[in-house]
Amino acid sequence: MGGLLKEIYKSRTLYLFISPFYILFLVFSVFPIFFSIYLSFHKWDGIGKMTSVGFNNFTYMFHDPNFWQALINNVAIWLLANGPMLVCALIIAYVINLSIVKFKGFFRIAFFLPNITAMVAVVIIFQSMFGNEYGLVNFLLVKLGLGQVAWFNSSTGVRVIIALMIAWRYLGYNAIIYLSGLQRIPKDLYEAANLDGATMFQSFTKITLPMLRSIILFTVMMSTIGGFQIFTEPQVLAGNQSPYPGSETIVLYMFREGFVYQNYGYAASVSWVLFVIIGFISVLNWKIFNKSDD
Amino acid sequence: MKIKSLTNALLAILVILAVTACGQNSNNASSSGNGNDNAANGKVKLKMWYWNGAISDSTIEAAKAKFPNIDLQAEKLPSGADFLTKLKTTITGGGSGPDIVTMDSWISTMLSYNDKFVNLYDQGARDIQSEYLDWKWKMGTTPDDKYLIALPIDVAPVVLYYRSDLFKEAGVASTPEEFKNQVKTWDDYFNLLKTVNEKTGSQTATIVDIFRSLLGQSSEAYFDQDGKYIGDQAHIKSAWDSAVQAYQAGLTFPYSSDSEKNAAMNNGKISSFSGASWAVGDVIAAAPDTKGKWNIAYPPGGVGNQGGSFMGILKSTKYPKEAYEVIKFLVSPENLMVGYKDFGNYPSTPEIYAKPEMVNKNEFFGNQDLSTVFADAAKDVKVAHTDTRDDMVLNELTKALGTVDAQKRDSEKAWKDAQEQINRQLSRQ
Repeated sequence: MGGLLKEIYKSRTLYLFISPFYILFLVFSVFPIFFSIYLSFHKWDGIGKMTSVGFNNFTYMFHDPNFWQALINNVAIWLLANGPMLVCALIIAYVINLSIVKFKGFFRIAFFLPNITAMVAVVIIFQSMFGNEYGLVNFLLVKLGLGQVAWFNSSTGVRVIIALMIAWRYLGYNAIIYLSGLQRIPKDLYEAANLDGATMFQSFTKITLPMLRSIILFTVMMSTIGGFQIFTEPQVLAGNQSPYPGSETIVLYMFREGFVYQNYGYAASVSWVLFVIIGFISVLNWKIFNKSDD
Repeated sequence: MKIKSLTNALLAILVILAVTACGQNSNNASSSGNGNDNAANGKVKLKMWYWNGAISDSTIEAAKAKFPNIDLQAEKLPSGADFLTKLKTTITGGGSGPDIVTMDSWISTMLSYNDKFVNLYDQGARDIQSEYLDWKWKMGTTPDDKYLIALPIDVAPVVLYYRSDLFKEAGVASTPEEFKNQVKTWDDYFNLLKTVNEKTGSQTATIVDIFRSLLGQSSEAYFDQDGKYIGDQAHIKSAWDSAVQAYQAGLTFPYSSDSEKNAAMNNGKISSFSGASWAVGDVIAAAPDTKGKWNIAYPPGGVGNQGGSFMGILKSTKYPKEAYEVIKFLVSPENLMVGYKDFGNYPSTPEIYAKPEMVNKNEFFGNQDLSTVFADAAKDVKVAHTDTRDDMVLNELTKALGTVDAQKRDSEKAWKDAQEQINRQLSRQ
């Protein structure tokens, strides 16, 4: 320890140069993280006195049906959005990568564009498109001779809309990642397979998929983490009050408890439970993908 | 050598930062209202936080001109929850916050922390109390009326917006006078709506909107003065039942978003709704095709208030006296009139309601003078006791009531479930 301090003292100039980052990092990241642990065992309205409540925040959470409902909504939206989206992204990447496709650059940009649009604007457009009474989607359904669907009246409808928004947004992003993975696969593997008379489907399942495993793991992990942090879509869609059924996600639940109801301590404990959930699922992902390696 | 001098420069910067930080701390610690020490460099510096549309920019310019010895730094911040969070952080964390702050209806949550604000009664606010609407003034005082944390800016009485052409077509009350005299209760209103609905096929706002409007007119909300929960009692239940009744009679239009509401208004599907005074601009923007067909009237069942802001002084200021002079000027009746002209914020000073400058005739509303209706309503506003847990209760209730329409749930069951959930939340340690 003393040796380390001495080392630091010796190269103090260099440490001084990198210190702005560390000071900001300490103040704005490390301190809040530890403070939120402390906060999660307290009751605090943001201004008044903090009172220690032990594990009450956690016991209350596990008995609160709203929390479980938010968790269910969250998992449902995550599955609805990410399963089909990742499959489609892979197919799109595969198609763009085919040698017969021209204008690869154009497609890459076109598919990536949704990722950089302003989220709030996107949500408002989706909201109008799926409107119960005057939505474009319902208009088309009626024109096609089908009935109107009251999208925002059922939790399934609302989850589908939120999932669609997420899928639309991240489809291109994941496709680009897959595409770069595909381009790293040596061409001779496909040529050899071709000589052996493999069909396109066979070379996709026997060469492309195994070679892409690490990339697929990465995208699944990233969308898991993102999936449990869904916030903007339901927040803008439903506003602070009277959310549509099925729209409340864990982060929205946490936000409402903290910044609307002023239960900052409770919100901190929700955030730590969320942390554990994401950590657990990430480890699970890791294990599953590594196992099938051998 | 080069590196060494750079190091020295960096060190010097760090030292300066540290010193200024300490300096600010000590300033705050000794900020007990003695501002004379700073008078040496001429101007008294006052920082003010407000949001767009809270107070007119031309008024702020006028204040700068009127107080040449005050350096008024008005900072425009994003409104809503962001503003509240920022204010709370500043109050909790200390530091060089603003001297003057604007506050919204959430001022009630600040009353329990009145010691963070300058008591404006000590600055002579009693002298101007009579100029303001009493109910609005009381929203800024502690229950014992000994401590005033802010002066009123504007009010937002909720009135009835309606399509006079549709009501005329249905052969029922259609002028603002007829409304005021004949449509006194919500039952009268619903009966009218039934006829209008049969004759023209138009409806009113959603089941949840009706519930909110009804609650807004009540002099009791969800908690009594002692913080006891009363949100399961008759005054809330009857509002709930009325809303359900309107829905069951087919009077509500179930739009799923604001853009749908706008479309419905423009298509003539909505014949009337309760809206605050600031909704004038919204209707004009939402329903351009119905220009000239709208009117406003004194609302059935009493008057609620939806919004309107305040202006107070933080205790950490060094110049409470000067700050008070500034806010007194900013919220003076003449300046509030400027705000009304600029963005339709209805003043909280009744003495000017009758002035000719206040006349606000709008083609969109068939040249009706909107001010007379607002003036009439503003005097009769009822305000309920508020509590920090109101949001939670209202959210649970409206969520449950929404499912009565959206998912055809039984209203009694929805009510029971919502109360259970609220009680669970309230039992929290």
